[in-house]
Amino acid sequence: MLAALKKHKAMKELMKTTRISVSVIGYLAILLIGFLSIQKPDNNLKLDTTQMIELLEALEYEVYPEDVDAFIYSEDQKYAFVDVRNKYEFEVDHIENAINIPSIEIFAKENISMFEQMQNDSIIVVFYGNDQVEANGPWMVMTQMGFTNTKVLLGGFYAYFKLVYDYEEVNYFVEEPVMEFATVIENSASEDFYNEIAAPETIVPVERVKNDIEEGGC
Amino acid sequence: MKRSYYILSIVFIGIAFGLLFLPQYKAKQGVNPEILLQQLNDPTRIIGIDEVAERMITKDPSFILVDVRLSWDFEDFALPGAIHIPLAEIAIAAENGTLTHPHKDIVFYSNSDVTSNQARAIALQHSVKNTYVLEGGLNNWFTSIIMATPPAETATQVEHELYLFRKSVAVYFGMPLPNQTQGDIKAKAELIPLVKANDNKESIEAEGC
Repeated sequence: MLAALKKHKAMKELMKTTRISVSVIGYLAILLIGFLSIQKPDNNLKLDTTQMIELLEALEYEVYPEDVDAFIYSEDQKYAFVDVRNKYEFEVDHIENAINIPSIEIFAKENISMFEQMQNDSIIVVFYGNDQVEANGPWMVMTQMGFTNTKVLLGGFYAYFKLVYDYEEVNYFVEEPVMEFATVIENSASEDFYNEIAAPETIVPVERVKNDIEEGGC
Repeated sequence: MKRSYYILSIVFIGIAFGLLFLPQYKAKQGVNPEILLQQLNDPTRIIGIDEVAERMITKDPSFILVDVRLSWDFEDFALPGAIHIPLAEIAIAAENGTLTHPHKDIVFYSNSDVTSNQARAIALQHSVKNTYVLEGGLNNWFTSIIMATPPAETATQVEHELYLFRKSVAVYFGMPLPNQTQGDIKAKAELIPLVKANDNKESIEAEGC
């Protein structure tokens, strides 16, 4: 009887400890799953803003439209042109041998691995859009992700198109002021301001010559 | 029995400290490039010159103009009320709180829109909120507003109203009224004798049949 009671007590004790340890193990397992499932983003910015600003100030990222043709056919340094415009704009016209990667698709796995491949092969990637601003975003993000072989086409496809088809040079240094702002404001105070800009047209009516002698009918 | 409780408590305290450091770890992860690119391409980032002009004239306190050009450009000419933070110092300014205004729109501008977009990209990475870029920058401001050219006579009423609005903005920012100086022009025009055909009517009526 006593033995049975002792046994029962021991069992109870054992049950208690196993319950505790099971719950602890379960808890730790949940934590472990939690820590393992913390999603590290696939793509990280490797360059911080200070380094990026240095790159921006160095201005080594610029590619001029007149150099594009030479770059396409250059033998010693390979260039790859990446068109960040959408498919339709790309279909209409694009730089020869350019790759179309719309900026929303730039983080697709195959594209990232392609950029990595080009980085390893030391191919220089030139981003272009319709203008410089359109390619600026993709270029900045890719550069900060550690792709240092990247450049941007100044003036974008528009400037290149104008140069190749119309032999017309577009001012692709868009950050140059188009006029001397301070001078414009100062001169505005002078009286001649509007006279210089738009001389008014004066219409002088032609005098009709009338005969003194009265004209008869018929 | 007691020992297992001790172990448990130590484990939990350890985990608690672990949790304490978790958010910091997350913050160090920095900006997600995909979200950053979305923000960079966001078409709503562009704020029109007319809207900025209107907000400047009505003295809207809820926006700040940030000139990101070099210092000599800023000293030469800047939009009234703009603060000067060159591109190189955007990161510093964002860190020390110069750009931290929870209820204000921050409008970056440069001569065009390339530098201002780059400045905005830097500011976004320092989690500056409500950032905008002035459409076309100062070049657009001067060609479209200050030196506004009248639309063709066949243009729509909207275009004519826009021209009138821009002309009045130009006057607000120190340009002379078109009528002020055109008085001289009229005076010169009046020197030329105008002979109207109808004035020379002869007293004697010309006879018909």
